[in-house]
Amino acid sequence: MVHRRELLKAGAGLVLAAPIRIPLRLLTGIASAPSEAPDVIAETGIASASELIAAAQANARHARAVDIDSTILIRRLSEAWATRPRPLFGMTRSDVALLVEAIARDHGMAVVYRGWHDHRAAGEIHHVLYGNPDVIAIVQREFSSAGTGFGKVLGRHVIELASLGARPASINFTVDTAARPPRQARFVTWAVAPARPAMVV
Amino acid sequence: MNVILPRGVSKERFAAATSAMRKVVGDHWVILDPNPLIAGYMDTYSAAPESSTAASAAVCPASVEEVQEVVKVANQHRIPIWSISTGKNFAYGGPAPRTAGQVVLDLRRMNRVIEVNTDLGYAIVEPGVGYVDFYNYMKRHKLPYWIDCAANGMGGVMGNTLDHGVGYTAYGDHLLMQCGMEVVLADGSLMRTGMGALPGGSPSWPLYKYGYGPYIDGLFTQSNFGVVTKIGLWLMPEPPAFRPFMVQLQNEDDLYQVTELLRPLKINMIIPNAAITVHLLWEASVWTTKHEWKTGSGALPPRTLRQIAEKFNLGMWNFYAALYGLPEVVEANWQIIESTFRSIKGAKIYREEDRKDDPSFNYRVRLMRGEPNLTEFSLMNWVGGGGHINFSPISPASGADAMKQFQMIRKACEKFGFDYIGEFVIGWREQHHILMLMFNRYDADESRRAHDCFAQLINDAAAEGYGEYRTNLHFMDQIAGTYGANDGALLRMQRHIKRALDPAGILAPGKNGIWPLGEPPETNS
Repeated sequence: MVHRRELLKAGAGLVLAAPIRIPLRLLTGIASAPSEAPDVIAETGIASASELIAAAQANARHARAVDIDSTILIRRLSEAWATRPRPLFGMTRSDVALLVEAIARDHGMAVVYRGWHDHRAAGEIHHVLYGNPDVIAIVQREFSSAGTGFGKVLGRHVIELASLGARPASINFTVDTAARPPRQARFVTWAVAPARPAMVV
Repeated sequence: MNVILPRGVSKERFAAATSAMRKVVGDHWVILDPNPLIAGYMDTYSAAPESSTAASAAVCPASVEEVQEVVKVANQHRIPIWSISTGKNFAYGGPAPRTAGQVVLDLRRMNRVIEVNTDLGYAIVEPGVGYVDFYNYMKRHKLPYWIDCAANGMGGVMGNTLDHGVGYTAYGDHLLMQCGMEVVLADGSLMRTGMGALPGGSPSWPLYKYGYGPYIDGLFTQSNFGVVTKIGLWLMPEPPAFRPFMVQLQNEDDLYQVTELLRPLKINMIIPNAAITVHLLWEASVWTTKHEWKTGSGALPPRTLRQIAEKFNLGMWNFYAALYGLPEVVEANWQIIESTFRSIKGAKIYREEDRKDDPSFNYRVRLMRGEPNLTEFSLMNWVGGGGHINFSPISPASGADAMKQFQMIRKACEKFGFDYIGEFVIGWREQHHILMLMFNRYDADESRRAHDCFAQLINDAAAEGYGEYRTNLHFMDQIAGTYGANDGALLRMQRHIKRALDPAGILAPGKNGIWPLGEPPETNS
């Protein structure tokens, strides 16, 4: 049985922080401007899902929390991207990320951002971010002050994170919080975006 | 910016080659750094650094003629090319080449189901046809046949077959059901095997495997002697009756008895499909994650395994198989199944209707009727991060071998701090033991331990006379070395063939330990 339910109501009452926009000049490389607004999905069961969705709604085409059946999700994405590849940002468990990345290649889409978020028993959250170095540096700074509320930070930056930009780089860092790990203590965030036309040297 | 180049190839030669390739396939279909699409050809999920197998470029031809021309260009410029069909064999390297700098020849645009013959029950497909594509094609045309897919429903029909992959219907030995092959050789010439070598095309090409003279299709599997551009496949008629079932076993030692009981059922084809005996944690990953039971490193203790089994109503081992055929035959065989497996103390036998809400049984049922799905990827969530490599030794289908391998592999896993997550896929007379070695790829120490564990497992298995049937890119040489009887005669012959068919050594250098002249494995490990 497959359930895909929108939880827009869950986030509708939250006060959204003012989105922090990144100057276009920081988005260097292949793209001259941020991509179009991405779709955003977050997997129910991940504690940060609702705050991500609430924050992303100002920046995303569609932002929703869903119960994911990976077979159905991948089939629907494949069908949609066959006619029109478009940016997608996700907060999911690892299997979904692997599968989305794999079909993205089939549709001329590139992985432009990856995040690994590991709530540890000591109250620390370890983050590994891969993406446009300028963007993930900003995100890192905001994560440090957000603590467990980093989903909100990601929601504010989904457009920049889901855009083609400078050659991706990785950073990893740990944020101290006093919080106990949630049930889904390890999860990933990711973004894919169309990368056509192919670049040639 | 450091541009990745094939080993020993200058920037100028590489540019000339890729320029010529663009003329063949079009600018759009030669992907070069810094196009971000090139990162999509990395092996992101194995235990070694991605950079060690990063491609320099990817070339995507759309036809056999374009493949021929690209191969000719590669030959002219001495550029190594690594062909993939869909590049979805994640645990074994995905779309990545054997070494950094090789050019990926991505055949996914060649994705036609060329023919399905409903009278004779065969299909001819191109490399880019995925299981989902094939399944949809059969459904769309209302064809009375099933496909057979791997547990990775995203995989490719041809790629899995050429890599000796298996599925779960009665046609689960994919290479056994392959008949007829079209191959582009290293000089760009085109060859058809078997009856396909008759001028004008023979209707028997996808029907009779052996043609005349030596049977050579196997030379183009797990090898680098040519680029396969078409294969014929035999299709399983949709059976009038299908009865999947599960036998839940309460103790780990029951592995011995279930394997002994199964063997005669397989040899006599009472159970015609690739039956599987699956350890608890493989199934539990559909329901839960390790983190819910244990934080920190190390394998779960036996007490916790018991708790997981009880909570999710799973066995320490869970056996799945199915009966196919006429209803009365299925019913007759079912009596044999029930009486056989009830002899195992504490065993519980379930049919599909008994576990309608069990997602792990449900996806097994779908696989046993050839329905591609992606549920098994839940394994990626067990530790999180998605790092995984498969260790896959072969043994006789005997209880003693199953127990010996299980204990040997679990011991090594625990030594390196990993859970044993494994299954036995039982063919007619042998079994593939698949260890899913899961690790957090964002943890450098854990990745290194996974790599070391895998390397030790190869040696441990070889010392007991076991060899692996397939492996990840990074272990191809080590495993090839274990097949070293008679002073390495097998590998020596393979390398002789390589040098005869591909003197420039451009096709997939290093695939399965087969290196061209001048590239011995010791300089490429």
